[in-house]
Order: sequence, then structure tokens, then C-alpha cells
Amino acid sequence: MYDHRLNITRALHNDHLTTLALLEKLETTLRRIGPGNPPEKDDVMVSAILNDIRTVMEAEVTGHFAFEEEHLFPRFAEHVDHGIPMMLQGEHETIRPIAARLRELAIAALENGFDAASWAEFSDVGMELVEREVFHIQKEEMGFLPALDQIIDPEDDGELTMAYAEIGAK
Amino acid sequence: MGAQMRLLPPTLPFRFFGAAAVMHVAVWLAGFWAAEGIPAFSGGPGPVLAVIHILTLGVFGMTAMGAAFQLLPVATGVAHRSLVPVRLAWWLYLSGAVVLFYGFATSIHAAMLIGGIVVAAGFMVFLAVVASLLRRARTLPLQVRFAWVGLVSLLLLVVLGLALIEDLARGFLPDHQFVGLAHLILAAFGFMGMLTMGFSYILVPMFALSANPPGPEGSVSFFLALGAVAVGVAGALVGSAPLLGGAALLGAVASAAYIRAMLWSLRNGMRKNLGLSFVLIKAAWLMLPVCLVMGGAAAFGMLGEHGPVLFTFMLLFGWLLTFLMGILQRIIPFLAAMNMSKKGKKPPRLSELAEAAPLKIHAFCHALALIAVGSGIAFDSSNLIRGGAVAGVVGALAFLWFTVTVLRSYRDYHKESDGGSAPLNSATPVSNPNP
Repeated sequence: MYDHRLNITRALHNDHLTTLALLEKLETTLRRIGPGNPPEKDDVMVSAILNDIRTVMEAEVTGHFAFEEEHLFPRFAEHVDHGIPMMLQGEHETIRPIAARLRELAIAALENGFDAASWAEFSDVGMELVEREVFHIQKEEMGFLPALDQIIDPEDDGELTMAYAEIGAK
Repeated sequence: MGAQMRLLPPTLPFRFFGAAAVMHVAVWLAGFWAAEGIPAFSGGPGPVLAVIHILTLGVFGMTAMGAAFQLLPVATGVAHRSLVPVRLAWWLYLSGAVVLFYGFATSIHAAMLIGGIVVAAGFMVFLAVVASLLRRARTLPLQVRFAWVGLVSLLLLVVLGLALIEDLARGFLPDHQFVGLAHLILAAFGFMGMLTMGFSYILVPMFALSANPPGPEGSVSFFLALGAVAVGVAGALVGSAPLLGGAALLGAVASAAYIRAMLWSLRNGMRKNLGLSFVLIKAAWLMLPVCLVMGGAAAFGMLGEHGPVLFTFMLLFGWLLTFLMGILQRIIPFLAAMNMSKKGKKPPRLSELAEAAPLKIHAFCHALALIAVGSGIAFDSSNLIRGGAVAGVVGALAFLWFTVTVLRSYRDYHKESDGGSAPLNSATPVSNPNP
């Protein structure tokens, strides 16, 4: 991947790494357990992932996505290309309800554990989120962040980094 | 900046990748037909030369052109100035290649010459387009350097290729076989090798979601590979086994540095589950140093009578074809899915674009074909080669099935969301983002 020049692109990249680490753990766990066998409520590894989903997905959807849409997509559309932000925004709109549903299921499971139906849904939604979010991040890492590095000047970089920190994404 | 010049209509890269998938079937079919002459092949027109060029021009060239036209603007952030040359390159290259294959297969010199000139024209348009992108690129210096060497190699291999064709009629070259070997080294290592290594430094970290390898391996692999190609071409032109052996040694060290960098990316990437495509890619990485060692040994006559053919087979089918099939099965659905984000219609997941079964069949048959054809060459058995070619055809058909399924998913998605035909040639902002 590209070595980022700006503080803001490095911050977004680091968020991607945090999200990816969670998705990787989620995918590995879902594959290991399988959709037909709900884990025990006291499964430590599953509980840790559920807690991570609760915090990371909240930051991802409300912080990271919203910041990109408000501050970065308009700049990108103005200076580089309007099609790419439209596509990425469309993906945000696809991912948002999936992430929200997974988070709801995680919160409910932290309280009550999983039964067969809720675990099957959690597995299905989780795998869909893994696939869509990883693909989304690959595209942002390949085309979006490197281009931002070319169009944002150092002054704007400082302002954007502060604004991102204020949103408190992750 | 012209967005549409950066955002290629999907039909442009898809036509190159689709052609590569079709030619892949043709290679193995032609291999079955030419099996008798393969173990003792020593150059010259005929069915075996046609097989080699269906593979190199049909599969490798098509893949390289599609990937370069699409990926370079994406990776470097530099837009195409116009898409007319891309379309021109396609038509020249495709039509010239078909005539050239016919000329090689039938030994009709006029067809070879006309096909060769038209292919050369297609390559020159490609070269001009890619050179324009590289000249304006301000990022990815290592990858850009690899691509420049690839382009210089392409220019030289085209010159030598045309000279080889004309030599068949006039006999002006001092040694046809030596020049043929230089042409092969330039094509396989100089053009395709440098491009695949350069693109690897973009694609592998992207798919594995890793940082760029931090060590000096990238630069080391570049300079050693450049040296290996230069020494190898010189050695081939003067018929010097020590120079060829030295080139193989340099190439083996270059490949070790390159593979080390790639493995670093995989180890440090956030994505561990990279699927079947990376099984093929890793197998190709294993075969690269193996074929270089074989090349060095063949230069000194240590691999026996069929050593040079075995080396050529391992180089073209073992390393390059395996690698490109691994990459193609990743980028075809990736590219299709990137063009499936329409407002009001949820895009499919990557895994929904095509079934996994054809790729499993392809991987199994490809491995079987490599083993059978390689053994057939080593033991001078045309039956083994034919058996391997049959496995290759089955695998290639499975790969074509996979490609068609992805394209059909793409078409159906746009049909359903538009209520009409898929916008394969349009470049609307939403349906043709190609970041």
C-alpha cells in the first residue's frame, strides 16, 4: 500500500487497520465456529469480539464515514473525480445498516448470549460485513487516500486532522 | 482533470481480460494439436511456435495491456489523456495476433510478416499510452521504474521479433536461434517479468492490506533483475553459456529479494485469508527461482537434450501463466464489483459474482497439466503432453466459465437496476468509478 504523506491520510489509514484487525478476528471466529453452533455466553474470545464490534463499528460508521462524507468526498470530487466519492458514498450507505445490525446483535448477545437463530443471523451479517468492508477499504487504500495525499496542502492537513480528532473517530 | 479518462469504461479492461481467458483455452487446445513436436522444438515456424505465441501474445500480452491501461491510472493517480489509443491498441493487437498465429501455425511468411507488423503497431500504441502515464506519474517510483524497463524491453523484443520473421525469408541474422533466445528473454523476463514484479509491488500489498515492504528488497530486486535481463540478452546474442549462467544467477538473487518482499507483505498484511488465487501466486513464486536455476543449467547443457524446452515450459507455463491466472481471478471480479454501485440497488458481494467451483477445477487441472506436460517433455512422450493438454483445456474452460459468470453478473446487475441493457460502453459517474 501507499506510504501516506499527510497526517489526515495516516489517521484514516490507521483507522482502517483497526477495523481490519477486528474484521479479520471476526471472520476467523465465524469460520472456526460455523453458523450452526452458537457459542457459549461465557466464551471469552467471542465476548471480546462482541465488545470490539460495539465500539469499533460505532466509531467507523458515525465518525470515519461521516468525516469522509463531510470533509473529504467534496474535495476529492472538486479536485480529482466525482465518480469515486459517489461510489464510496454508495458503499457507505450499503455498509451502514449492516454494521448497525451487527452492532445490535452484538449488544444483545453480550447481555443474553446467542441462540441458534441469533447466531445464524450474526454469522450471516458478520460475513457480509467482512466482505463488503474489506473491499471498501481496499479501494480507499488504493485510489482514494493516495489521491488525497496529492491534493491536500499542509495547512488543510492540520485543520482536517484537528477536525477528525474532534469527531473522535476511534 | 478528465474523470472519464481515469475512469475507464469497464468494457475496455474486460475485453483484454476476456480475450486472455479465451486465448488460454486456445493455448491448451493448440498444445494438444502440436504435442508431437514439442519435446524436440528448437525454434522456427510451425504449430509449436504458434502455441508459444498464443500464450505470450494472447494470454500474457492481453493481460498486461488490460492491467496496465486500468491499474496505472488508478495506482498513480494519472489520467489517460484520451481513450482512443486504448481502443486502437486493442484492435491492432487482436487482429495482428490472430494473423500472426495463423502465419506461425501454417509457416506462411506473408501472414507472419503482416501479423507481426500489426501486432508491433498495437504494441507501439500501448507503449506510447503507458509511457505517457509513467512520464506524468509522481508516485510509486519503484513500480514506475519496473514499468519503464518493461517498456524498453517491449520495444527491443518487437524489433527482434520482426527481424526473426524477416530472417526466415532472407536469412540475414548471424544466428537465428541466438536471436530467438534473446527475444524470449526480453519477452518473458524483460517485458512480462518486469511488469509482473512492478505490479506485484502494487497488487500484493493491496490485496493483503499491508504496508509496502520496508527493506531494500524492492530496489535490490529491480537492479538485479535489470542486470539479469541485460546480461541474459547479451549472453543470448553472442551465444555465451557463462553469460547466460551469470544472468540466471543474477535473476535468481533478484527473484529471492522480490519473493522475500512479497512474503513480508503477506506476513504483515491484515488479510490472512487470501483464497485460492494466492495459492496459485505462491506456487508461481516458487517456480520462478526453479525455472531460473533450470535456465542456468540448460545453458551449460546440464538438463539433457530437452532441457531448453523444459526450461521454456517452466518459464512460460509454470511461472508466468500460473502467476497471471492467480492475479486475473482476483482482478476480474474486483473490477466488476467496482463498477456495480448504483443508487437504489445494493451491489452484490464479491463472493456472489461467481461460484468458487470453476476456480477449484482450474487450479487442480492447471497443476495436473503442468506435471503431465513437464514430464512429457522430459521423457519425450507426446501422449503425456496430450494428456496434460486435455487437463489444461478443462482447466482453461473452467476459468473461462468463471470469467463469463462474473461478466454475466455484471450485466444482470445493470439490467435489473436500469431496466435495460448493461452500460458496458458508457462511463457514467456512478457505474464507472474505477478508483
